[in-house]
Amino acid sequence: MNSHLKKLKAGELAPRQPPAARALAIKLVTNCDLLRLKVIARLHGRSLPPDLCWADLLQEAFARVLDGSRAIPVGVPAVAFLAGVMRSIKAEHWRRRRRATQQQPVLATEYQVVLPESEEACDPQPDPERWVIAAQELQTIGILFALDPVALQIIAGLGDGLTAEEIRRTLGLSKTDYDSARRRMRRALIRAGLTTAAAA
Amino acid sequence: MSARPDVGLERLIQGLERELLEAADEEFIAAAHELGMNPEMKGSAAFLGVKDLSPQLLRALRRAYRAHREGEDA
Repeated sequence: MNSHLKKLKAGELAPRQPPAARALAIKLVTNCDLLRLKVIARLHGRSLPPDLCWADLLQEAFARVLDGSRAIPVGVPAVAFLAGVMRSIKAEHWRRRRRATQQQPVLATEYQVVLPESEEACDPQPDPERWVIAAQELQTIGILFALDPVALQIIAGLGDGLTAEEIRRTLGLSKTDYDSARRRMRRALIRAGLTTAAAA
Repeated sequence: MSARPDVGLERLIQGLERELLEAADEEFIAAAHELGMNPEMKGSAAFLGVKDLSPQLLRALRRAYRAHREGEDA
């Protein structure tokens, strides 16, 4: 590997297979799993810090599983586990960002009062940037289902942290109507997650 | 919806993630076909950013490689 690298001229890049493609090659996941994970990654991409994109999140999750830093527990489906790893990477990035922004004023001036240790343990005030990103993305998701009033109500219920059964009961929907609305929502979500418009 | 958009969005994403985890494989294939993509084909647009390197990753790798080369030359 090293000798191959030395043959390259400066600025050239050795051909590398991304972690997701490696996982496919070793049959950790199927092609269909990759589509599912792409859609999930793009969904999480809606609440990522601006310096990170959904593809980074997806590849990082695969990289951590492949390098053994995150081992898939026996009996847990690889796709569900990778989705969980993406969630934790996202939380990690926001935590790091929060720490960086909290440290900045201290670095900027020696006269700044350092926050008490308990501050970190408390429910933090939202990062203003995160607040704005979230408000915009909620609006975008709303637009995605604008023509489907039932889906919009289900989305509001999910945003309130209600379970599927609680939402169904609150809305007074039959199981058939509820399942049919969920199918429409999934279709819209999957299409949005696979479309190439903002794929990069 | 939660008064805090960041909290509401995270809850919503988790709920929608559950939906996607429960969806049948056929729903993904059908959506890809509706978009004119053929996931069975090698290099299908459906896998953009998945089987290839994203521009962000490529940039990071180029930077790392350049730094590595500069370290070697010094």
